[in-house]
Amino acid sequence: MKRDKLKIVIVEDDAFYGEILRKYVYQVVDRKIPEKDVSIMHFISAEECMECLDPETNIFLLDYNLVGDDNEASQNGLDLLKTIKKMCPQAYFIIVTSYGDFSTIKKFAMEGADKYVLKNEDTPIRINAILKHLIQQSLVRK
Amino acid sequence: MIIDLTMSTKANLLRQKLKEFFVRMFIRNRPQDLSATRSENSYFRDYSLNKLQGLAEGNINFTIEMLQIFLQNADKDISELKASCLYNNWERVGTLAHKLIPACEYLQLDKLARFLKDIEINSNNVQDRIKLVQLVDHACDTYSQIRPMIIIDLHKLKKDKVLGNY
Repeated sequence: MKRDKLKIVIVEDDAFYGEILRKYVYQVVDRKIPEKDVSIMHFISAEECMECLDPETNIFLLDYNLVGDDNEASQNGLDLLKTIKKMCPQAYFIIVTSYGDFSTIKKFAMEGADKYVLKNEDTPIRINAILKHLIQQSLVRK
Repeated sequence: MIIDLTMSTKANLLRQKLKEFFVRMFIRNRPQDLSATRSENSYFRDYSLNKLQGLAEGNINFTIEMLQIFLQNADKDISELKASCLYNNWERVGTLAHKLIPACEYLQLDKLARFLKDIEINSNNVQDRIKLVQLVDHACDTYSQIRPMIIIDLHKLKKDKVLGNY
């Protein structure tokens, strides 16, 4: 029987940090699932993510501030979460951001984000623990 | 005929801009600043590849790729930071500083990250433009001092890759 791929999407406007996140994700996934059974995509804007969105994506890692290079008004992580949540109700959402104020966290929680991770020294440990749990949950859902 | 411009908004704006211009010139040309930078040498300690290499787990290609991405992004963002500062676009200044901070932390560019954090905080509520201009100048100077070191490391890594020394 053909097994469905585990699909993980990262939306982060900073290419450097996006690749760092991909590495963290890969480190967790690599120890649990064969490489051929996983797809990890990185998009630098909400618009790019929407263009290539796969409704069967299992886990999203979203940044809050998604300002494009041209400083044009772009959807932020919260807008994107609202949109994707309707299209992928089964997916899990991890918010990875530097904004740690209560009002921002509350907004994301109200819109259905599953986890909120701050960009700091503890990010790798938190991402690792959360992903292990959510990957397990995603595999159970399948 | 003597025209009193002291109460004029335009004159105040012009005065402010001139003040900012002279502060910029003063900071750039201040000899003691340059000598302090050279003798203190503290910029050169605020950079390390240890964290990135730890994350790479021996994958030299990953380290090379990340350094290339960093330089490409930082070159663009730092020059835009300067331009936004010149045009008093403080919102963009804050956004760019915020965007640059996480990457700096991975290369342990502590001094640059500190300046960027201060820029981000000060740009939210612009009360002291001169201080903000100074911070942007410090951040740009710090980056221009660290950049050649990153390029040297990048060349070394590329050489090691070719020679298989990793």
